[in-house]
Amino acid sequence: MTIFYACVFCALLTLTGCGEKAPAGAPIVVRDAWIREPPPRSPAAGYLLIENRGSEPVELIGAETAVAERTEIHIMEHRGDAMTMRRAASVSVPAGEEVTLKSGGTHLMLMKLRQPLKTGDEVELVLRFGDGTQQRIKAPVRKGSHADY
Amino acid sequence: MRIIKALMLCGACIWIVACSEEPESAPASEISAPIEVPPLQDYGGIGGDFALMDQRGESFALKDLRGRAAMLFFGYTYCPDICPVTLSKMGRVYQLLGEREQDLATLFITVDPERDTQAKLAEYLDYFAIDAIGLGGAVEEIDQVIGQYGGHYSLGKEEGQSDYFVDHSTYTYLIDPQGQVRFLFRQSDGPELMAAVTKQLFAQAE
Repeated sequence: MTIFYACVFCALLTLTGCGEKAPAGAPIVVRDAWIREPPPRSPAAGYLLIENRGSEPVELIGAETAVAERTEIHIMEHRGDAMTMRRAASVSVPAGEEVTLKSGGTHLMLMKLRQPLKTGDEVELVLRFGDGTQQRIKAPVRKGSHADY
Repeated sequence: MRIIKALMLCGACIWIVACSEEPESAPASEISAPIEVPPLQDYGGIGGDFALMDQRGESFALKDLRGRAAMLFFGYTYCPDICPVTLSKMGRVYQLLGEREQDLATLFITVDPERDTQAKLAEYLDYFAIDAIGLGGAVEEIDQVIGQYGGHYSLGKEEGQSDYFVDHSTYTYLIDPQGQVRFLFRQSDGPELMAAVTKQLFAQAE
């Protein structure tokens, strides 16, 4: 009987896994997503890490969320002494590598927010990839600081 | 029985260790390593006084600071990434300056005066917990000031578009109490460096 309980216990441990980690074997793993709490009336920038565990390059080709009218991929670059931002159609992640969408670099931009976003909120995002797959992720909203740059 | 309990305990421990978040290493900016403070400089060709309108609708000239130093930068309120970072950095600079914080003003000059009304500037700057002076004016006035400071900007605006972004130079200018530019900080410079150079300016003035 005790052995039976031990087995159940072990099975539960295995099943509960490690929280938000992706299922084993998934070629595209998204983690560390967060959204910078936007100043009043500003769009909100979203950051995350995409890991491509597969043997083919993958592309993030779009994102949607119910809290914004549209979500764009933006590429920020330093050109000389200026910061330039341009919209991009996709972000490519080479096979076996990871790409971080971060402050001061490529990031998601949630345009025309339908509701104010505050620290502590959680935003659900659907990420669309070039291989036809989608991932639904949750990104907490937090204030962010200069240290995130 | 005891062995099984022990195994269960070990399993649980392994699970807890494996699943706990890795401790985040402290960001470099929070490590109090000594900073090599670069010397103040003279930028004869750039800077100078100007007159614009602040977020309360009052006219503001650099000389109104009457003996305070200032950090000046150009931005706009629809700016979702770089401007909040710069303003949050200034919050940290003030912490690092301690009791000298009132000797430094923050001047945020909008490069998007068409959208940045006084009310918007006020609302935006109120959001950040620093006492920044938001400055706007007519497009020609802004162009004059940014030209004076050797900066530039361009509106990424298409016909009829309201949610456009603005590319702009990202230097932060340290201005001494006499109104002279004494240091240009890059976007990548951290608040520790900015505070250290400012303290150096205070020390020289004494």
